Amino acid sequence: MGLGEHLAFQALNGVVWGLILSLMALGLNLIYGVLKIINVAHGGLYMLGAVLAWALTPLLGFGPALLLAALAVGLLGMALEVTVLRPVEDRPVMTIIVTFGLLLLLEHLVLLFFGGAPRSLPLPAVLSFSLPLFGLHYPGYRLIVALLAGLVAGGLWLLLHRTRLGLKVRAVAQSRELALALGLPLAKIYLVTFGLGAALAGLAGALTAPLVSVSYRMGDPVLVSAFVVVVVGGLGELEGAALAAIALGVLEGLLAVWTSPTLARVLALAMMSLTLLARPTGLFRRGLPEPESWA
Amino acid sequence: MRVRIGRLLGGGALALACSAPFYLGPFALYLLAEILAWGLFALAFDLLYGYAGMLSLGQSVFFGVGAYAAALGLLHSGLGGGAALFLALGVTTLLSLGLGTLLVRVRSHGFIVLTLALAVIFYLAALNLRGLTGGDDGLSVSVPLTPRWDYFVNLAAVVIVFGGARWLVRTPLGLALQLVRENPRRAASLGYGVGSLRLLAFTLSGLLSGLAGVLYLYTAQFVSPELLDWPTAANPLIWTLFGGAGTLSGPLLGTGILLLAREWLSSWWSYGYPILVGILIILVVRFAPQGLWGLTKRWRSLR
Amino acid sequence: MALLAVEGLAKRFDGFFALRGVDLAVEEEELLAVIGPNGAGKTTLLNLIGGELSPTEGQITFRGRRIERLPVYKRVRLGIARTFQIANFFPALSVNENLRAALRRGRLGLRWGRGVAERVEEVLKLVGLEKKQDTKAAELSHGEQRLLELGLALSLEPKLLLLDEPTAGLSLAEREHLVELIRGLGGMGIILIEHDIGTVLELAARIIVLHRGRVLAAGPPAEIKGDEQVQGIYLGRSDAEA
Repeated sequence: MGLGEHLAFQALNGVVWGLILSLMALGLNLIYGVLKIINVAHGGLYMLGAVLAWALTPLLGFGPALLLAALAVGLLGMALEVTVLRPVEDRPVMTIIVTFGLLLLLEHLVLLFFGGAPRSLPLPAVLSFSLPLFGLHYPGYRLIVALLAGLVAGGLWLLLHRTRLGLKVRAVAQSRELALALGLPLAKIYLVTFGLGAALAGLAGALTAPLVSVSYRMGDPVLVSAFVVVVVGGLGELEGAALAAIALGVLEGLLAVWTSPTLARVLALAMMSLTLLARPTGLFRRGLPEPESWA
Repeated sequence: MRVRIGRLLGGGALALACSAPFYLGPFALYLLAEILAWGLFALAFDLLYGYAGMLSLGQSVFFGVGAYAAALGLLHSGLGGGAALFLALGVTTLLSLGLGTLLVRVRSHGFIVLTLALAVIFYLAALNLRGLTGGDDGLSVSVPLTPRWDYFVNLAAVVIVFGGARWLVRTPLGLALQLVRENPRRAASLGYGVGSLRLLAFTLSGLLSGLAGVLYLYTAQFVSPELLDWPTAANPLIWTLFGGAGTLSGPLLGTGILLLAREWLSSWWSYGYPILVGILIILVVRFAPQGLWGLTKRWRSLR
Repeated sequence: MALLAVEGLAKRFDGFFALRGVDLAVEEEELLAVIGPNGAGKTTLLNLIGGELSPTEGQITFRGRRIERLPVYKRVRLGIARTFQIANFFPALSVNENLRAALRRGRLGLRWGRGVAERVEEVLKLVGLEKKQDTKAAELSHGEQRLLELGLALSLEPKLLLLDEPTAGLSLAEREHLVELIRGLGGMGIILIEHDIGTVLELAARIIVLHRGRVLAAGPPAEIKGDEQVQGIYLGRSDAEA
């Protein structure tokens, strides 16, 4: 492969990965924007989606397994929100700690039941094609993943901006007090939002399952990237997070042309962190700056 | 009344700790020495989180860098144990000062995530720079300390740092830090240099974390990149939370109890410890956010 | 030379101007009141003078020094103190401890010793909280919390005192007590943000009316009272309430 092709390949990979990451980031941001929860367990939900996809594919086929995995993770998310997270929703630092506990539980329960050895999920034959693109044969499945991720993100935007439910969700994200005053069912909105965010993570994991090795720790690196992306894009800014995610993906991909993948990751993370230092509230943060609070 | 019980318990614990080498075998001593090193790390964390109110998920960076710096000093520069220690302390102080200057300007969420990213960056860098760090093989050192002496060194370090920290938090400076934690906006509008105070806390915590790292190295005689990764940084958070943040004795207690529990659990259920910790975290945050120390306070105030 | 001079001050938040083209001056020992409907930019103005925000345009001069780029703690040490609209103190500490916190040495620590205890006593007597000095701040009544707010600011021995709606939510008696307190303050310039017109007319030497981020009118109380524009937007409503 010549340099041009290599760059194109990596850039495409970066976009695909960035779109998957943006699903994670959107879920995280949604959860933060509405519930003010910093969900460290998001990486675990991603992993769970992948594991479920792996487990269900032999029984149901890949497509249905994908959907079921996302749905199951979404439902689990709702259950967790009601039971474990409700009591701490008003204290951001405590949510970090509690969700970290959840992450530990998720990872090690999966370890217990599925074992520690990484598994692979082979693609069904119908999806293992490649398309000629930019002089390469690019794996078709990755393009499908990118397409799906893009569609889901678009669907999310439509949901939030064109439906009544979406309006309620955005209202709560803007001002909890006002939403209460308007008589919006806060508890239900919290439940649905967390479930949606969790389902997005589960979907991201399920989509990624055929591309990487599925193991109980696979969510950890994704978690960190997702967090960096969310904070760089601006907490609560959905579009900003998606953009930052794609930027990180492409950056990582391009850097990997010249250096090893881990070093590319380091550099990309470092660069993103530097932007955070330059703009501490995030690149796309709108609205008034909040007073110093470390609640 | 409360102070006297506390002092009695503390004194008793210390006496027990000092006499331990005379009836415990080398493995038990080794375990305790390791616990002490981690306990020191938890103290460093508590100063930053419990007293200054800054949650950092990246203190493992200073712990690991301290350990690596000392290891490299021992292996490549032929330094003795003491000199390597001072080298490591110097390196971690400069590093935490430098990073802290950049980090303290960032608000709470950004700060937490940046420290997390920092841990990951250092971890990955250590994995990659095989020539320097040995990659995931790590570095082995040999330090001419018998288990008994190593145990005493760690014990002495913990006692000194604990005493020093207890003194510090009662000084005007220590109280100013706590004011910044309680209400940074108010503190600033009363004339406190919030940024400078935070930098001080961050640097101090980094320095002590580095010290803990060196002591860990001397005990385990081995350092590997995992020490830099964020799960290592999350441990003192868990121990401190469990024991009681902002109490100094709480984190030490929490570290001791949880690490002993881990040792015990690993002998018959290797997955048990993380699951236990996960459940514990959720329970503690929900029912006892002040940790063990807070529970004892509540119990005492009820009598 | 005026104690505080503000020229061409503007603050922009991502597309809308909270303040625009604001000029004002405060003399030593003068009480300037800033009034205006909600959202007019009064608190933003205070935040800009106090240092919590930096201006998009304009300059702020305090005793001959340009301060608009200085951090909050430096402005405090130059002699600017403020109270907050929502009482802002250390809830877990007692009133006495809160006031002690205001007496700091340098930017890193508290002051210690006998002088401190006496100073705290003075402030406690001044605001009238001696009896409550060992109560935890969070347990104070709303009125007492406002007195603590004022006490904290006064402990700093400011040359310029910024008061952000100090009488909000107070009973009539409490309001009168506070007004008397403020009236008795000497040796400092005061900028007072207030909604209650009665209070303003009683205390202010001059009044500035803000409306949608701009200065609508400025002058002595009699003039402002008679200004038709102001009456229409603001005083008219207040009169109806009173």
